[in-house]
Amino acid sequence: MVYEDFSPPEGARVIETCAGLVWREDGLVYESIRVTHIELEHARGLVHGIRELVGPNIRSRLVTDMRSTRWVSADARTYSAGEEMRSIVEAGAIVVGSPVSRVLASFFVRVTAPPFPVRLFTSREAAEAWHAEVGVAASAK
Amino acid sequence: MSSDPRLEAIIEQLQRFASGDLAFRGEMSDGHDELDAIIVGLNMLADDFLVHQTRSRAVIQDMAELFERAPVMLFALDLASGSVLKANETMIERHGPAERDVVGTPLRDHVVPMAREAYAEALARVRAGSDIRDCELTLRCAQGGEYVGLLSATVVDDTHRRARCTLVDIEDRRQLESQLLQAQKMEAVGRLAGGVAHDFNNLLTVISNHTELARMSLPPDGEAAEDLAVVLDASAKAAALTGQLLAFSRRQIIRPKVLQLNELVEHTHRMLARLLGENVDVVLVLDPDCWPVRIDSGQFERILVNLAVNARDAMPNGGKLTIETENVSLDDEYARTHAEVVPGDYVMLAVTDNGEGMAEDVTAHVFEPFFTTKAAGSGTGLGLATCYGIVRQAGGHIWVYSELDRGTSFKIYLPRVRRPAESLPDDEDASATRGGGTETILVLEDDPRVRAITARILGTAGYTVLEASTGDEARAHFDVATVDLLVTDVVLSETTGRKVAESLRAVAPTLRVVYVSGYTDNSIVHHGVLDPGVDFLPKPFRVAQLLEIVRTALDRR
Ligand SMILES: Nc1ncnc2c1ncn2[C@@H]1O[C@H](COP(=O)(O)OP(=O)(O)OP(=O)(O)O)[C@@H](O)[C@H]1O
Ligand SMILES: [Mg+2]
Repeated sequence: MVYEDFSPPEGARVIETCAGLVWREDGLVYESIRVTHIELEHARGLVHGIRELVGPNIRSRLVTDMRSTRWVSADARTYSAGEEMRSIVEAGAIVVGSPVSRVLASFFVRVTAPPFPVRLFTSREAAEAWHAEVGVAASAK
Repeated sequence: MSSDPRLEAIIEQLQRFASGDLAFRGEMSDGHDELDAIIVGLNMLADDFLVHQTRSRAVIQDMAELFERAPVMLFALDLASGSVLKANETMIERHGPAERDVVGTPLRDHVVPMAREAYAEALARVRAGSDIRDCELTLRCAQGGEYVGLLSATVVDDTHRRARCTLVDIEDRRQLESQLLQAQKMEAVGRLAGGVAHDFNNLLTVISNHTELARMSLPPDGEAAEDLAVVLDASAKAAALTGQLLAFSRRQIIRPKVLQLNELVEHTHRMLARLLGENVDVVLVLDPDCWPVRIDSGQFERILVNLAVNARDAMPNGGKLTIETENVSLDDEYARTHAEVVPGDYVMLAVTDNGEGMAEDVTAHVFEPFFTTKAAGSGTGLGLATCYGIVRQAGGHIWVYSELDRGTSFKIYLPRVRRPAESLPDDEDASATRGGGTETILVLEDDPRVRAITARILGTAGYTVLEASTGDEARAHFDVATVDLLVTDVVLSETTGRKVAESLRAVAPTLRVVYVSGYTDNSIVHHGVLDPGVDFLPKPFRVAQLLEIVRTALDRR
């Protein structure tokens, strides 16, 4: 299932990875995950996609749509909370919907515990608002 | 009431987990509802649990491996009974051989009776709740033998009243320490002995030469002459004694050469056989490919004689004396357990008897000067001290191994020299030719009695003799007289004979010099080794020796 509010805008540069699409919009990097079961290779594919999009050593603020996800393997979770991910992510907002996606994302945030700030949201707008706040706070420092 | 089949499935999954089946994964429906979320949650919990389980098993295995193979003994102690609850392999190897010889037994049983009181005190402290560190105990190994260990214990903070303990064997370290201490003691005694010998040599020079001059002025068959002969004989013995002391203190002046030990042993063999008598078999086991070593041949002979005489005394009813030579390489491991040993190639000389042997408290002291178990008058206790000094001066090592009623073996290691051996010197002509002359000789010596007797001997032989006690006095003579030869002490109170000789050579370039000393000094010798081409007369000297060396020096002009 693809949510209408999570599609790249006209003319944007879109990287298509094995797990879904990655693009940039208003200073944020968007991941639209289109596989239902995320395995290690998918998680890696997303990281490569982001690198290709923004350059190798730049840390971005991420908005990830996990609403259609039904499973994340332990490997994929560990990788997504590891060093490689830390090198490209400044802060992550995860958009969830169904109870399943909520449980999956909560596990990632609480149990796997990535070394960068992550929050769960139920809409794209809420996620963007948080980033805007965090971004202002960060640049005010 | 019929329940939802998906709820049934969740309950089944929980039951499987409870029975330990963590591989089971619940099936989700196509929907995304709350029941699916529960199944996803359970599946993830199971995944994470398995990952953690694998990781902690690996950690536990690493810990267990470290525990078993640690080079120190590790164990847990039950405080109520004082028994070992668990012990690592290192501990079981030492106190086993089987695990049940250690685990379940009181640690006290492995402590020697003498140390049990100390152990009981330590245990009481641990029972009272305080940790102990490095408590020194002597323990008994399963295979016999004892060792000194340091026991540390940490009380485990729980109701089971256990302590975690380590036990470190420090036997090697202690032996090394005591060897070092022994070596330092020998060094200190050596310095003292060297100083005494120096003064003694001056006195002996005066005594023996005055006696000799007095005897020459008397009719040879009179009673007084006979008395003087006894004095001379006694002072010769005293001179030999101070010689031993100097050898021990490594202050003796030597002329080492690169030599083959085998040749030296064979050279001394006949003399030894005579010394040992018919009841002792002398067996030579010589490695024909022995490397050369650097040693003074006279000193080496002295070592062999000292060891052989000791062996003879230890075999009053006869026996066998074996002299062996062999090339050996002492490695880092050997150096680690033997103080002051530099790893490398050595030639070993072993002198072994099958006599009465020694108790441990005797072996511990044999190399000390004046240590003897022999009756007063029959041993001075300088034999082995001398050997020790000679071997150390040659850069080698000497060790003793002895078993009561079995015999004794002395092993000497001399460093290999990578140069071909020289041939043995011919036995020197003992009958020194006396000489006299009419040249002018300046005697520079700060001990007035030694100076006087030296001048008197030279004067009697016809020389014109000038005397000086300092470098300045010596220089003053050069302003008014032509001096052919300087006879000078090496060690003067405010300078050295060498320095004076050099400054005088500026005035008289052809001046010859004879150095006299009972003591090594770095101005003409280096670590006791004489500079080549130096005319040297050791104190105490006799009339004939003085005249001989003076004549030789003058004639070489
Ligand atoms: N081969 C040996 N077997 C048994 N005991 C020995 C042996 N060699 C030495 N000893 C012991 O070591 C002691 C010291 O020996 P060392 O040669 O230094 O002195 P000494 O023989 O007593 O006297 P000296 O050699 O001065 O006449 C001896 O008194 C003896 O107790
Ligand atoms: Mg002796």
